[in-house]
Amino acid sequence: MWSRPSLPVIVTLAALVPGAVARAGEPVETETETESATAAAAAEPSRAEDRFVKGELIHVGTRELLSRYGHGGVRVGPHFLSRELYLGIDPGFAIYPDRWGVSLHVPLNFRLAEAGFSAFGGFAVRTADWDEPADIARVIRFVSYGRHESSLYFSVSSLRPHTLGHGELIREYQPNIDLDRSMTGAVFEAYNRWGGVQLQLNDITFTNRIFGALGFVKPLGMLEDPRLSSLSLGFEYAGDLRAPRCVQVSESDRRCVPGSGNALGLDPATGEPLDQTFVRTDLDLGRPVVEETDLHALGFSGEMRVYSGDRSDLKVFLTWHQFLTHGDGLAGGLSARITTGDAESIHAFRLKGEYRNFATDFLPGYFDTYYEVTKFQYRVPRSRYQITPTKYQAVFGDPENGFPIEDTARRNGFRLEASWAYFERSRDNKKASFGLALEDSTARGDTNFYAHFELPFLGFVQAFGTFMRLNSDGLGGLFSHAADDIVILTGLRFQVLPIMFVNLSYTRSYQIVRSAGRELHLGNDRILDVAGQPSSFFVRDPIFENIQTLLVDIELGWESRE
Amino acid sequence: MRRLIGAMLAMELAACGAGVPVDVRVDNLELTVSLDSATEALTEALRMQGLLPPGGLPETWPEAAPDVCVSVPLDTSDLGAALPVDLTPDPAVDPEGAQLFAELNGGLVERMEIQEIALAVQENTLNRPLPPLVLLGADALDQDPATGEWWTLGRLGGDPVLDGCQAGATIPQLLGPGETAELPLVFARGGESFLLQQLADERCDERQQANGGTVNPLACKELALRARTTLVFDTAKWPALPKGSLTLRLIIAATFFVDPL
Repeated sequence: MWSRPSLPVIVTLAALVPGAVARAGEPVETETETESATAAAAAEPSRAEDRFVKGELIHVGTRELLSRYGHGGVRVGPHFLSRELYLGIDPGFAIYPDRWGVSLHVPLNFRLAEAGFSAFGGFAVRTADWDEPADIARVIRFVSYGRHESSLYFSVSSLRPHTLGHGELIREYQPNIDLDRSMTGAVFEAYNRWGGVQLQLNDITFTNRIFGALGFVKPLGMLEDPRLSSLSLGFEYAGDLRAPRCVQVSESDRRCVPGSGNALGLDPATGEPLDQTFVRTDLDLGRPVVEETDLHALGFSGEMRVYSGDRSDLKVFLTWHQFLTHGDGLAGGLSARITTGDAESIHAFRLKGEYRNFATDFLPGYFDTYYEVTKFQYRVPRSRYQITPTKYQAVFGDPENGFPIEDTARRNGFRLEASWAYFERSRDNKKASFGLALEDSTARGDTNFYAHFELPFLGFVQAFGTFMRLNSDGLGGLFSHAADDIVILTGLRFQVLPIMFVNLSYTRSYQIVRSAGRELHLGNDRILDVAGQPSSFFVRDPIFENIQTLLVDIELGWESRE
Repeated sequence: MRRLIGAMLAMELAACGAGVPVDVRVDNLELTVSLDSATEALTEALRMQGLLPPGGLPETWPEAAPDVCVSVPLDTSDLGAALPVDLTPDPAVDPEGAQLFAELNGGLVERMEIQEIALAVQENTLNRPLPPLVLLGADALDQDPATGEWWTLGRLGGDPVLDGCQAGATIPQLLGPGETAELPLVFARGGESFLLQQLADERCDERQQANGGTVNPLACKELALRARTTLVFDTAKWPALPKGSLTLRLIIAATFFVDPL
């Protein structure tokens, strides 16, 4: 009934990857493109795409493991979501007619036990899954046309993160890092040998409005020289039209919470606290009440292949980006793609090194994996303010509300990336992959690290995992015992019977600390009493807490292996 | 009025790792407000202003006398000390209470979430409408109402306490004379956070040391409560001498997330 994917399956899944985006200026790797390689040795793979593996090797930040094949069925099993237990029932399917890929599902969580299993939950549908307009689109796992790096590609997906260009503005942005919020994004790409365009948004319901656009041209594409013809010039835009500027006191009191000027104790005249950092979350969703603003950034990038071999190449790139009315950032570096091995075993490597120099009010990869959490509360060590600022306030400052930026020196930093993948006989038959990335700078809390693996090594067992730690305080902070800045996304899927599969998923992500309409104290120990002492009473309440989920699903259904 | 308050407690536990939830419902904390206790203050206030009729305060203000309006602060602690709330009773003193809260105190309360907070007007013999009330809390169990820092936790019904003798002032009426009802407590700014911190264990040790004391787990999860309002004796509106009393029952339903030791 369901046809075989028109393209090899693993590649088709990769094609759903909004984050696996072509770098600005990357050659258009259409199916008809031929390599400039000389004839391969007899032991080397015969197909060009196997001799020189292109495209992304890993997909950092993937949230869910799906069958690699067309399938239909229902998943049932216990879902441990933070402190509550649900019965998950998720009927769904995936089909790949021609160049299309379509996967829809209806993920339902029925509450079995309330907070920590203390009482029967009444089998009620989890309201947090369906209480926002954007939640409606969660029925779409993906709808795609074409494949990434083909001349025309379109994807609507809730599974994968987004990266734009070299990631200086949008890097591995994951819209679904908050357990109670679901977003379904879209990507459109069109390329030819003279240039291309890429558009992306984070929420097809437009409730959330993060947009990205990339256009590039290859002005010397007509030349024979492979180096000159590879020159690519790109233009980028990224923006959040609903960026939280400040956290406000409550729905009825729209003052921004001040980042300085608070004191402990009571005003003798009114009896009211001098500490102005108490806030009340909104009455519907329990999110902080915020003042929103537009945030826009533009940038340019240039890229050229300086070495091009049969099975490897080396590119040099340079980028410049600017947040409108705020600071700018420069980045430049090298990226290498290397393929080794013979016809049976193909190994592919990616290496990338980048130097950065940026203004105080600029942050590389501003829209990152944690953005949907840090846009409300940007938690970095050694805060200078009396509350944890929003990301906007932390990066761009907000003197009007007590968040001045005092240090205006430009920052220096680096990013290193390495990834490896092993393919058996064909680029379409990945068996294992692994990747690491590390970045650091002289900016406060700008040490970031991830490790990622994918193991589709046996046909009936697949696994993936991402460990991510962002906004640490220097390289030593990566080894801190505190775990509230760690995100872990893992999945394991194995086949028990021809019609039965087991899916396991463990994650560490985020969830709002309190329920709707409750009070939070955002102030920290920089709020002092008349004797200059911090409060021994009020602690700082985080808005989000790092929570764990475990999903154990039995999937009954049919899977096409044709 | 130093008595340890008993409580109706519903606790159910499950081994789910950190933050085992313990549901607690406390619904028999009682506060009493008596207008009788305000008579002396009212008499004194009228005498000070030279408005007290000869022979003292009459049952009904004489029609021939000029109307007066006097505001007198009224506090539940006028009847004694503030109301102590102790969720860590000493087993040696109150073994029954200690047993009641044993599971709650079997670990460290890392956080809590209030599900419901209200004040039920249990008995009402007041001969005039109930004005807005403010609920206050203090850190120490035996906090003197006259001293120390008292936090405004919230307002019964949400209305502020006003001086009804000011020109044009209209005092909201929560209940008519003799009426009873359950009224929600609307938290004041910082009030909910105060309650959450006070009933959790986090920083309790630190707080005790900062106040010069030694660390004592039995001194955690406790606070003192009192309620206050303003009695307005406006003879033009209510010529009868204010009388009667009010018994308020505080209802708190909360989930404590306890880290087992």
